[in-house]
Amino acid sequence: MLDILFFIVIGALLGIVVGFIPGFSSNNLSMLVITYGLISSDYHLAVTAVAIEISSSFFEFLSPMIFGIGNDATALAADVAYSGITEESFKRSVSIVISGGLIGILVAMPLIFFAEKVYPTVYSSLKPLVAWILSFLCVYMAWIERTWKKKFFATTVFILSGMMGLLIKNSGLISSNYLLLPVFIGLYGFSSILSKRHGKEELIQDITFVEKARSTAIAFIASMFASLIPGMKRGQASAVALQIGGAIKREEVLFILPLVSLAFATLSIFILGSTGRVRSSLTYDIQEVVGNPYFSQTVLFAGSVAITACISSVILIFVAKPIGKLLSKINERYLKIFGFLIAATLVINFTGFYGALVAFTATCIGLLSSRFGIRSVHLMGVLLLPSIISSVIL
Amino acid sequence: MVGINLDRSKQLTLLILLLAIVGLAAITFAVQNIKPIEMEIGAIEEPMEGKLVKISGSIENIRKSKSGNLYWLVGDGNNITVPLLDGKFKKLTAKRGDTVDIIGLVSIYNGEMEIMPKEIAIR
Repeated sequence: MLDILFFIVIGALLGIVVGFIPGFSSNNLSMLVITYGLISSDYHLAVTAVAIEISSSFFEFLSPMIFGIGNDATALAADVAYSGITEESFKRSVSIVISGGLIGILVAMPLIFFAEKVYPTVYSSLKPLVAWILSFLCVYMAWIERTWKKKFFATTVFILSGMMGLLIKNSGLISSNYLLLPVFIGLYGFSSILSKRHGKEELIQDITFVEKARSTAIAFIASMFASLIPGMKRGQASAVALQIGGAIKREEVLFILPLVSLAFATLSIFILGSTGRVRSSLTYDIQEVVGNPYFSQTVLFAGSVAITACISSVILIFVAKPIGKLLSKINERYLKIFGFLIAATLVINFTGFYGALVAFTATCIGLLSSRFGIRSVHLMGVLLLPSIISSVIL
Repeated sequence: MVGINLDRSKQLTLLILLLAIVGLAAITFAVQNIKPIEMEIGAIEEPMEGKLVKISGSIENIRKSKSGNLYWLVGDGNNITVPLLDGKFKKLTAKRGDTVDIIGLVSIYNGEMEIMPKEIAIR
C-alpha cells in the first residue's frame, strides 16, 4: 500500500511540472516513463500514469491563466481569466478551478459501479444521434446570440474555425501529437494577448451554490456524452458543456472546464475497465502496461485519482498565493509579451512553418470572435465541425 | 462611383477577416501540395504519428472485420496494417500477393503502427 502511495506522490509531482509547461502533455511524459522502463512494476507504472494525468489536469490551468496559453481543454480559461490579474482575482480563479476539478471526480466516481451495465446500452442508443445532437447544440449556441447580426457573425466564426479543423485534421501537415497546439494557441492564446476582451475592472467573482449545481449537471452530462462517443475528447466535451450552458458567466466557464476535464479522465478509466474501450491517452497508457483492468484494479485506479486530486489541490492552493502576489506586481504588458514569445517559440519549435501558418490563421479567427463581440465558444467549431462530419460518415 | 465608408475599427475587422480567409486558402494549398515521405515499412516509428508517408510492398494478408471493414497486412520484409475504412477503397479488387503503393498517414491503434491510406495504387 505504501509503495502505491509513493508512486501516486511521484506521479502527482511529475504532473505538476507537465501541467505547468505549455505544450507538454501528460501523455508525452507517461510514454517516456513507459518506453524507457523507468518504473519496473506494471501496476506502479499505471498508477504513476494516472497520477500524472490527474495532477497535470489541475495544473494545466495555470498556464492559460498566467500566460494565456492553453490546450483544447483549457484554452477557454485563457479567455476568461487572462486579464486584469490581481492577487485576489487569481486566487479566486484557482479556487474555482480546484472546486470544479474535485466535483468532477466526485460526480464521476459512482459510475464505477454502473459503467458495465450503462455504457453499452447508452452507447448503442446514442451513436446514431451524435451528429444531430452536436449540430443542434451548435445551432442553439449561435441562436442565443442576442441580435441577428451576432447570430450571423457567430455562424461565420464557427464555419471558419470548423473549416480550419477539417483542413488540418488527418492532413499530415503537422504531427498529430502537436496538431492542436498552434490551433488553440492561435484561437485563444494569441487572440487574447492581442485583444483585450475584459478590462481590469472585470475581475473574477465567486460563484453561487445554484450556479455551481447547474454547471455541475451540465458538465457531467457533457462528460458522459463525450466519454461514450469515439472521436470525442475532453476538448469537445468542454465545448458541448459550454453550448448546453448557453449564456453563462465566465466564472462558470472556469468551473466547468476542470470539471469536464477531470470527470472525463475518471470516466475513461471506468470505461476501459468495464468495456475495454480506449477513450483517452491515459487509458491508452494503462492498457499498454496492464491490459484491460479488472474491477479491483479499476478501484485501485479510482483511489489513485482521488488521492492525486487531493494532493494536487493542496499544492495548488499553496502556490496560488505567491504566484498571485508575483503576478500582481508584474506589468501586464510585459506578461503578455512574455506569453506571446513562449507561445510563438512552442509553435515554431514543435510544428514548424505549417504550424505557424495555422497559428496565424487561428489568431485571425480568434480576433474576429473578439471584434464581433460574440462568445468565444463558437471557435470550438474547430473541434465540433470535424466531429459532426465524422459522425455522419461513420 | 459608389464608395463604401467604413470607420477604422470596421476596416480593421474586415482586414482580419480577409487575412483569415487568405490563411485558410494558404492551408488548403499546403494540404493539397504536401509531399509524402517515401520510406521502408521497418523505418516507421511511433514519433512519426500523423506524418504523411509513401510505402510500397505486397499484400501479405487480407482480413475482414465483423463490421465489414477490410484490413490489409502490407509487407516489404517488415509488415504494417492498412485499414481500408474509407468508402472509396471498397471497390478495390486487390488480392494476396499484389504489390501496392500506398500514401497515407502514420497512426497508432491499440499500440500497433498503422497506415491510414489516402491513395492506393495497385501495380
